[in-house]
Amino acid sequence: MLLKQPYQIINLIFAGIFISIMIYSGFFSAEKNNHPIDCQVYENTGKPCPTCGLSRSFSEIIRFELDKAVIYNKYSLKLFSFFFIELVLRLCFFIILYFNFIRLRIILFIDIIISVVLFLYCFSDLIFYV
Amino acid sequence: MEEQAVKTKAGMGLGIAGFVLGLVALIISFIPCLGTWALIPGVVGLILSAIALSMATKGNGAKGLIIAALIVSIIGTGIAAYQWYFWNKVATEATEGLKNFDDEWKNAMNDLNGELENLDTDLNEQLDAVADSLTEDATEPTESNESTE
Repeated sequence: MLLKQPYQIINLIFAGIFISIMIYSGFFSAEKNNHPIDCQVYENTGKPCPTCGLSRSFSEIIRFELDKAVIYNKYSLKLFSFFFIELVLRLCFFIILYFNFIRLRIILFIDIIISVVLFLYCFSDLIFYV
Repeated sequence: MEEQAVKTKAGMGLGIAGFVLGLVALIISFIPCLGTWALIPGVVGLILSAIALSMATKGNGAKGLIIAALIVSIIGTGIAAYQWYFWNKVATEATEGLKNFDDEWKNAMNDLNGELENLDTDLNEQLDAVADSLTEDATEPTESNESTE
């Protein structure tokens, strides 16, 4: 059974969400500045927040323009790496579970540890800002 | 004991949906630009998880994932709600601050205008006094000349 475990369904859904982020970043361009999402902090206070320019930065990362990406947002590489690594992890764990290489409990334990550590590392600047 | 060990799939679909929405809300809530938007998936995830939990309780379903979904949704919604409250407060204070600044600016300008008018009248009085003294000085020598003659 392809989707016998809820964990596999969750992996596929999150892989879809992360792929959607990549497609969104590729569809809109930093040069045209046509991203539909505006920063609420900037709209309310008139001051930029740590994630201002993140969409444009992701668009540049997708186009392998890493230097420009860092100019738009200095945290973008860490945040993008979180989404990219998570996408790879979702697909890897799905395949591992599909072929029963490792037991589900062990995969869950490894997944939780890696994901929490990765989240804390990549979002550390934003966690303290919030 | 055997009845307890057999778990059904009651509430599992809603539990998965609640978990995904809760986790999405949790991730988004830490991004300041999108923080308040996390309220939408967070609240929906919370509702779905609560429904899934009640379904699992009634139908003897597995509750591990559903409880995880509930916890993640609560944390995500909490952080998003805090951000919404915080930025709302900042926006309100900024608006009040601007209004107060505007009032203070108007008062300061009125005071300055009054001071300038006072200075203007003082200056005019002083100029009149100087003009009077000059005319007096101009008339005095002729009188003295006339007297000498």
